[in-house]
Amino acid sequence: MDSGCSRTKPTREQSIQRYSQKLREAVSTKVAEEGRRTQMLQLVDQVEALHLRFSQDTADFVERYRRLNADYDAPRAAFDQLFSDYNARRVKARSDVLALHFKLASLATADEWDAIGRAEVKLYEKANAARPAEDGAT
Amino acid sequence: MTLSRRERGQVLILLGAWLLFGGGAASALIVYDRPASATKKAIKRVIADADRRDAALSDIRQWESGQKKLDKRVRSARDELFTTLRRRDAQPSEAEPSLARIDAALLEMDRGFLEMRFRLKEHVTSAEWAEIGARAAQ
Repeated sequence: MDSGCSRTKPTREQSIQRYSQKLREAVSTKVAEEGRRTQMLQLVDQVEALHLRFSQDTADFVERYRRLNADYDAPRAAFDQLFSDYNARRVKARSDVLALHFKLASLATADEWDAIGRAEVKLYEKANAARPAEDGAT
Repeated sequence: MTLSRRERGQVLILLGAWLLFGGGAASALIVYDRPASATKKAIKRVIADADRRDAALSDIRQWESGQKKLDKRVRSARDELFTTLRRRDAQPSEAEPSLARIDAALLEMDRGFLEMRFRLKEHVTSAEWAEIGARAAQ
């Protein structure tokens, strides 16, 4: 990283790092009761693990697509199957993440949820803002 | 830019989060594999025949225009979903209409992506296809 960056606005990676920690911090600071706090932090860990696993699924999907796409004569059916398999994984992972979200919400009091819910949604909003549309990441 | 292992993990988590709530197979390919601009650039360099080159570029532009409209639909449904998730007392069934709208738009995006891929191939020889793939991935 260029040391000159320190005087400009934060890099995307710095912003991402900051916001992905906010959810855990919100739980740690807002939930005074140790038992619930531990449970909630475990849920946050599970959410992160799911996102990480799904990122790996996505990387595998992209690699399979590259191989298939390189074959000029690959049939449409092979692409349809590849996309369909990936989307099934996405829907399953999203369903698992949402189940964890609802568990998290059910453990929080209204006062606690104000900060935690805001941090959680912020995490997803930042994830959207962080989309490297022009970077062609990997 | 080189990311630390931790930063790389955070980026993957957030990309996973974005893809879970706002991207399907086609979006994953555009983000992780290559943006359309790279493919257009490669086509301009590789296809010498002006008619075939223009036809290929026109197919991509037409696809991009359709994707923009679908992307707006996804964003709108995703914002609606996040508003629901922000409420502590929201029930899982309340998220379903937004999720259904997201999935319907993503399915259309995937279909459009594959249709564009196969239309593009009609204007490109197998040798050009290989070269475009290699150049666009650079």
